[in-house]
Amino acid sequence: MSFRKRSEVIGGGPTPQRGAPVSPIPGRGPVVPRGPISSLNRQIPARDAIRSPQSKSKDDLEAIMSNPAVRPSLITSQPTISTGASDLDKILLHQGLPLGHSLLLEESSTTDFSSVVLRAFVSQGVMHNRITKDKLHSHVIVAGVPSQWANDLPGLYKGSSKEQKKAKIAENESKVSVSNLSNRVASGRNDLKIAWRYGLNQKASGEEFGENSSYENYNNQFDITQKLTPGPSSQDISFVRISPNFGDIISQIEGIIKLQLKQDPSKTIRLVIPSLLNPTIYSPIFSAPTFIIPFIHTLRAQLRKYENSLSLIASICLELYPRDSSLTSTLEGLFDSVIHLQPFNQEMSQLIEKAYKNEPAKIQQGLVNIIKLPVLSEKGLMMIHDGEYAFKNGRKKFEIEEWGIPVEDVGKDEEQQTTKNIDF
Amino acid sequence: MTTTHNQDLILFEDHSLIPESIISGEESYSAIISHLQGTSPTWLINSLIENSIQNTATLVNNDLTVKQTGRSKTIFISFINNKDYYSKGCKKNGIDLNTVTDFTYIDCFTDLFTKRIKDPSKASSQVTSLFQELNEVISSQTGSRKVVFIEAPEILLRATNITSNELLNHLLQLNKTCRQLFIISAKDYPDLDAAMPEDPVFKVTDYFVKLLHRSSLHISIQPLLTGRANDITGSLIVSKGPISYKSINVSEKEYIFNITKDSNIKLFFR
Repeated sequence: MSFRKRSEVIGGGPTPQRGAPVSPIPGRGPVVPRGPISSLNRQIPARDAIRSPQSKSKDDLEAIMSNPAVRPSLITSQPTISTGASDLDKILLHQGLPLGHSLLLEESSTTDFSSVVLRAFVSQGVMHNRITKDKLHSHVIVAGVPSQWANDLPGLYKGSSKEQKKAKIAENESKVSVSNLSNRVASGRNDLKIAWRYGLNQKASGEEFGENSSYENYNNQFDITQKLTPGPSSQDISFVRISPNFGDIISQIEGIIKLQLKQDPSKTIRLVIPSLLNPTIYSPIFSAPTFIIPFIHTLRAQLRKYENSLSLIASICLELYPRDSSLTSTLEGLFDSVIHLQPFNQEMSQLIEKAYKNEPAKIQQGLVNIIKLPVLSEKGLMMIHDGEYAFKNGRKKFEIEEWGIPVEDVGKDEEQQTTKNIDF
Repeated sequence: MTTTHNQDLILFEDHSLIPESIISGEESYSAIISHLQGTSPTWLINSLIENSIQNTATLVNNDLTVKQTGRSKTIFISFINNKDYYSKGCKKNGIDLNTVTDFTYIDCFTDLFTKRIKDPSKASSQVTSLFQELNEVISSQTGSRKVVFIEAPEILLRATNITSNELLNHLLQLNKTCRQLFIISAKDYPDLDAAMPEDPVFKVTDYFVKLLHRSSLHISIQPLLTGRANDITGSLIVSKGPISYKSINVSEKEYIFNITKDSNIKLFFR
């Protein structure tokens, strides 16, 4: 009798790689599965996308795909950049925001969670400039707010205090010393003895080809309690002031884009417009439809013009401009994707805090409603998802997860009474 | 056990999308394609472009399979998309818009507010000259068999100071240059109680109501009223407008449809 792992194929030989299925029809390429699948599979559409004859300008596309800040979309294989919040990347379904597209973050209530996402988007752009020395991969343009806005950009998440301690221990252990070397040899042998049945060794080797190795610099995790150090320089970020003539703003933005792309055509440009039309930043004349709609319309035209370089995220407060107002509905039409952050009201917050009083890490702060997703909504797919996701803004990251109404645990006292009765 | 069968999309009683009798006739008709947030009509527009150019509708009608070259001159005017968008979309329909000679794309999107309308607060004359230019381009096409699509002209009402009557007048002039005009408009949040004529909400509502009153066909696309469903994208309602077609009747029906991520379309009767 011999032991065999359940997942192992009878007949020996190496198990076929799921990521590269062999086409049953000669002359056709491998069938590429869609949706969230193993990281190994994601490499295949990537390479196919680069060679796709459908691309408008093959050279441009190849240049942009060589940028470590860019990866192909999981759905359409278009060049895509990370928003800086990995969960937001996931619900956008492309694993990020496709270049040449825009995202409008709408927020109800008087909170400012959207600025967390926007700052992470900026930080992500700045971090991409620190991947390789003497090479800038990204440039951020922030419109409408003063340069002090960038003082609060979140820094990299370095792990919890436990993890940081572990990292220190690991660092010490990695130093060459006689005791470390002897320990390492002994533990390695134990792994082999115990773990061969569970395929642990295979897993470790599989990770080498996984998502992290292919696009390891694609996104980072940001900690809102940390500041980005060193702060962004003028090479990383530019600020554009809003003036009453939208044509001037557009020409300023386009000037920066042209300058940056002249330096390096493979650069990605992240345009950020925080708190659009917020009266603390914008004077009332900017709220006139003859200003704001032509402005956003022209930005949409710019996004299509620089479809392999530029992407835009803006945020707007729904308390000032409700969704059923003409202005917001027009903006929703002009943006390629729209996400609505809906913080919980006080009653709901109290209920959740009560339900999760023993697990404060589970407390969510609001709902994430998807109204429009890039490319898919344009194709005609109905992508409205109301109340299906919830967000929590933790130190670790801006987390988005599936929403479920918490169950209030009220039965503890009753249970105690019951046990007493049974004893009797 | 009941089985559901895919239905072919038809707009007229002769089982067609754009009938020959309209294209070869002498009258000019207008049709409205209205849509709501969540159900973009791009798939329908692509199929209508295909039908207008070569009389087929690969994705929505299995009976319309015979290609007819030189069927009509198709002119597409868009205020919110560029040509690339429709060129990519129509590839699924088997048409390369970059090579089709009977297709003309007029881009009113890319430089609308940078070159064509520089001052949106005093836009009346600029909008007039824009539509004059459109009329000239359409008139320069040879023959009378012309089908024109105009997408999102209501952006002019929302972004500039022109009145709804001005825009409707321009669209009427445009309609006279062709046999069939399709006007594609979003009808999100119309407010019939809006009272201020300068208010864009009033202007858009007024425009939409008046447009409906002078149309011959109305195709409305909207999400399901009952909420989201995984296997149904939305509903499509075909209804006739107040001005009837002389030669043919509109086939009034309600469909529900499903679009997959691969842009495959399935239609069912409701």
